[in-house]
Amino acid sequence: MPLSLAEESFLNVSLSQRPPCRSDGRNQLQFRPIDAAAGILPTTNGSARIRLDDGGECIVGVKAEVMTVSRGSDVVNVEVDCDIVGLPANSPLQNLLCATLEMAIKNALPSRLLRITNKYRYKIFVDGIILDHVSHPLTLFSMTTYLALLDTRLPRLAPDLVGNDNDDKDEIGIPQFSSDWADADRLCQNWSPPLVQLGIVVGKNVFVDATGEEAEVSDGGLLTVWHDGRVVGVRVVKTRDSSKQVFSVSSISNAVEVLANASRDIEKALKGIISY
Amino acid sequence: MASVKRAYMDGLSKPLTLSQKVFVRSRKGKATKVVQEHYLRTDIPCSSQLCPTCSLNPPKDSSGTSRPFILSSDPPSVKSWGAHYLVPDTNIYMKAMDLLEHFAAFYDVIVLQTALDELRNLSLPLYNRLRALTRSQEKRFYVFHNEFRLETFVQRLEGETINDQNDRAIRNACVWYCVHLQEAVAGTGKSAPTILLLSDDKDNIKKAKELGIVCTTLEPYVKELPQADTLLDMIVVESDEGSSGPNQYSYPEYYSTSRIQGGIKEGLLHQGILNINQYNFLEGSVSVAGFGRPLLVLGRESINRAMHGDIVVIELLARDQWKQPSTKIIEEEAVTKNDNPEDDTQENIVTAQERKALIEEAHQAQHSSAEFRVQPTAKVVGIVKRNWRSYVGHIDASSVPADVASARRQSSVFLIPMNKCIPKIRLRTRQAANLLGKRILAAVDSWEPTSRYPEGHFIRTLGDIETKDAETEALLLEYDVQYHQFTQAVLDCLPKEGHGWRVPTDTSGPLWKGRKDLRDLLVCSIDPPNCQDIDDALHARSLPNGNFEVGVHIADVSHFVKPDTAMDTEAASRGTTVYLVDKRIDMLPVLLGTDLCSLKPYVERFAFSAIWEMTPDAEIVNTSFTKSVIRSKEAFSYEQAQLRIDDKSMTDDLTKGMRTLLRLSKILRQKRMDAGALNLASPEVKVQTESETSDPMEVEVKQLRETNSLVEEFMLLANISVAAKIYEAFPQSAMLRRHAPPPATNFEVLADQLRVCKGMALRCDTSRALADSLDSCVDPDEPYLNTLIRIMATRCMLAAEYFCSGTMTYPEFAHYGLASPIYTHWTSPIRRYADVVAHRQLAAAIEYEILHPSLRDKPKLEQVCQNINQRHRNAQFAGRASIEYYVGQALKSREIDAEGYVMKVFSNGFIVFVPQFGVEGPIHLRDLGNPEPPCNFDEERYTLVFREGTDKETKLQLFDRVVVRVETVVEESTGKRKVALRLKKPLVV
Repeated sequence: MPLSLAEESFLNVSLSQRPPCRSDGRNQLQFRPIDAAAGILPTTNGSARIRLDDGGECIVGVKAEVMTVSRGSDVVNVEVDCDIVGLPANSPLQNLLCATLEMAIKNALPSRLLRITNKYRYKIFVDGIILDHVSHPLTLFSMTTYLALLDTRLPRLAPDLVGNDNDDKDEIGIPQFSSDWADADRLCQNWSPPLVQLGIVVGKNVFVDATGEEAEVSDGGLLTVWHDGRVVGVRVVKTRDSSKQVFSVSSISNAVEVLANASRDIEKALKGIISY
Repeated sequence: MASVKRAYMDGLSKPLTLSQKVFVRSRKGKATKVVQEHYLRTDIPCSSQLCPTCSLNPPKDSSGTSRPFILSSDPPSVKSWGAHYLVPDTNIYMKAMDLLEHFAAFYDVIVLQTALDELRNLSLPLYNRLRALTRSQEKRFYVFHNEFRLETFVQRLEGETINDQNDRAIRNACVWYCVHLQEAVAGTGKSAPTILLLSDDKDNIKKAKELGIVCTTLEPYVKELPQADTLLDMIVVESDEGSSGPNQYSYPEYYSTSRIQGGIKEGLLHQGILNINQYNFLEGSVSVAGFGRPLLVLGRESINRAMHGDIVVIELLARDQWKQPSTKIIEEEAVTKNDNPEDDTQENIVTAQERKALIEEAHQAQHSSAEFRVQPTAKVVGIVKRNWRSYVGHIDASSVPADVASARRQSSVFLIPMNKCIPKIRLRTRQAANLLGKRILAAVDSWEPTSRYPEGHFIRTLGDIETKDAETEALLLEYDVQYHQFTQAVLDCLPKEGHGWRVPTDTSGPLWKGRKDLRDLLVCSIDPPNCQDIDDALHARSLPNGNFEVGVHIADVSHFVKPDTAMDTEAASRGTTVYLVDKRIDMLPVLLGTDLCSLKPYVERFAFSAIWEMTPDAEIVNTSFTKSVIRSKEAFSYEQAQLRIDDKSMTDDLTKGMRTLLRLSKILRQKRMDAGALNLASPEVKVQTESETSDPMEVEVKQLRETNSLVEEFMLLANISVAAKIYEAFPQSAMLRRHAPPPATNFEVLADQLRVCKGMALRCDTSRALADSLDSCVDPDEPYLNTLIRIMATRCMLAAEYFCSGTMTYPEFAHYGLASPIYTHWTSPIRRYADVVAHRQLAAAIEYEILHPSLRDKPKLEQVCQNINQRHRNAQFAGRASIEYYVGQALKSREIDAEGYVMKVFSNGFIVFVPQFGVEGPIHLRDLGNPEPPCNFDEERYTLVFREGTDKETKLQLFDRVVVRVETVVEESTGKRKVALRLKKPLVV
């Protein structure tokens, strides 16, 4: 239901104050409680589910498939797909979610992690479904994907291949995998997936985990891609029809700083769910 | 979205009801994660007849019946452990399957699902054998599905390997059985049998002892059994890993599975079946798609532990290592005589002698100008499928140490297989002295890279060498002939009336429906003397319009053998009747074969008839097929029939009919020959046996009379007509027989030999050309030469095979030898299964009955074809081997001089064929004088010139006639009594 003019004005003013005042009493960097679980889909290589307080829910499954590549190719093969219940296929929101995550993972994932032999690589398929969403689902999807990737394991080559790794074998060998799933290697043993964080800008303030109403009265949105302890990408996102497309340098750098802090906290929390 | 069924997640409060197995399936380079879930049950029974609780509510199958309880209430007892149920660990199945199958011990065995699954992953053949044991009633093997039962299911622990989990599951099941049986007998006053865990895994034994499970390793257990010595010998030999020193020579390791699969896909490696040359155990060949000729695999190192019949993966060697096939006779026995089976540490895989033999050949390859002889060579880099089976052989007496006779300790001996293509097998035995001079069945267990010979174990003795029973059983085993008695289930399929079965008199009854009454026709059968299973009968009569009616009547086997019955399955698996000299191994029970189906004279029999109207020139006007009832007027032998036809005084209608048949058959034969049918020859002899003892008396060459070819012509005609009919009715699934044209390369050598030695030309572009050029290969001085060439040409041919019409295109159906575009087997359903299938299809094609679904099922028919092709070949080999044995026996302690022909020339000997006895054998130069006479081998002219002692030079060329002294010796290498040939002087040239 759209907000009335009075409601809109009230929310806008209280959010623009310094320090701001959110209607649910949270501070700028505070998330609402989430319910997260990993490894919920037994047939996938890795999976996760996150439920938000407002009823938003997302499930992500990661599948790894063996592909042949031409020699020396370093392409990181990742495909991200996401269904949003209630929206038609190829909706702008779906495209934004998939394209952002796909790009973020491709840029962050070193190709050696997907290497099986010189000729064979894993291709990663990230498939998500957003069962319900009230607020913008980008952060939800990114967090679930992050958790699913943390949970992801790739089958290891059977022992007979590991010992004598000569070149000729790589040239023609068809990989044979160890049949014990417990042998499979964690994708994130020495690597962290990227995390995409959407913040909304109201006046000079930036908020994470905005509710639907907060987005409705915002000036616009900014997303940051967090990877390896720093922000590696920024992009402006429309949060409503009259959303601003241009921000001043100072508000962007302010936002990046805020979102970086939020990302650091979330990463820590998500990593705590999966114990290595 | 919570998964409700995932109850084991909170397994603390509730018992587990669902178990989950996760594993990675690796196939064609893909890695698939597979999750299997099953519900845990509480009603899986212990299957002990002692247990009252489990029998209260046993699980029922879909038809509402439950399985009877298997484990005896009074299981066998041994001294140390009392009455017991055995629970073998997986390693016991790997090591002791032959023991488990032995009748003397191992009853009441609990086969755990965990062990069964593990076994399937380790070895499919062993798994199938265990499955067969669990199906047989008498051994009382019970499969307990411990992973599906709530109490015995074990959850994988953190960091636990699959092996450890399986071991734990096995121990868990043992504990459960102990407690369960104690409860079962509580209050009855009986004592529960011991649950005895049998395992050769030290760790498992240790942990089991901690849990209080009664357990032992295999050897101490077997020592308590009756016939312990025999049983101990049957344990699979374990290879001693790590015993190989760093300096020790070894066979090359096989490539990894991944490299092999990739290599085959890329076309760098090739896959095929390895055939070892029977004259040279160091030479193998592999036929590979894409190469005109088979690739050669030369030398022990290149053959690399592969055995005859294995499906191997090979890699081509560099061009400079290409060779021509061997020109020498090399027998394993001669080269490796002095090997000591106990001596494992000192051995070099390739002895110096073998190297020398190879190098010698390499030189010849380089000096030879005949370009077509140099063939690509390859080495074995992997084995896809072992063709290991049980081998019959005998113990190499020289490998048994002298002192073993007194001390009964375990020793290693060599088993020399009867089949020369199989290498010696090293056996460990405690009974070496007792086994000498016996025919022995043994199995191969492993062939480690560090071991020169494969390791095997003893299974059983068949009897003394050269006794008839042992030798007959030996060759039945060697050729995988199924010679066991028909089971009760099969016998139950026979008509209840037994020999009293009659064709019903009421011609309006249901069995007469669709049957023509042909009882008045003057039908007779012509077969070899004393033939009991009469498949076919014939008739001919003239019609008012001047044409002739000719009928072929075939025993109506498909009336008695219905699809999908136990008898049908048994017949399909036997595939063919096997004829040995003194014995017949029937495909169908004898009641059918020699009585109810057999078209005996003077009685009414059901038949399937093919009837043609022919002009006097044997042009077919009209063909029809019908089920019928006939009464044969007479059963002739070929000789009797011939006499009757020739007897001018006989003018009755039956004789007239036979004369008509003979006249027409001659025209048919001529037509066939004109079309390019081949007249091939194989050396056929017959052994006359004394009727009482079936001891061999005399060997004679089979005589062919006109009446033989009379029957043959009409059978061919019937088969061709039926083939066309069933193909028309069932284009996808007709059972047909084809004979592929031989590749021209097969004839290259023979053509060259004829050109060089006899100045004759052999053309093989078409079967017609081949037939004509074979006819022209006549030397007036050598009347037998033509037959000899035909025999050799036959060996260049491919084997005819059964196939299902949907698997080939029409041009490929052709039968090369018969020059017929389509062919099948229909005329001998009593002794060939293919004919039974053809009968059913023809019956459906003429709308006599509905086609059974299994005869439309292409994959199933392909399986049937594959099996009967194999059985057919084996039956021929077994028959020949039987004749060979009897020829040897008949000639025992006799020496005869006979004419022979040189069939093959090697650089150190030659092969002579003796038509009188149908035998061929090598004559080694080394047997002609000591030291070996110097010789000069001209490979291009196929001549061998040698000087014996002070005599003048002897020159031998291929196809030369020689006189040989035929005697028999027991061949050292195979233990067979074989015909041995010695060159007599002077040579007849």
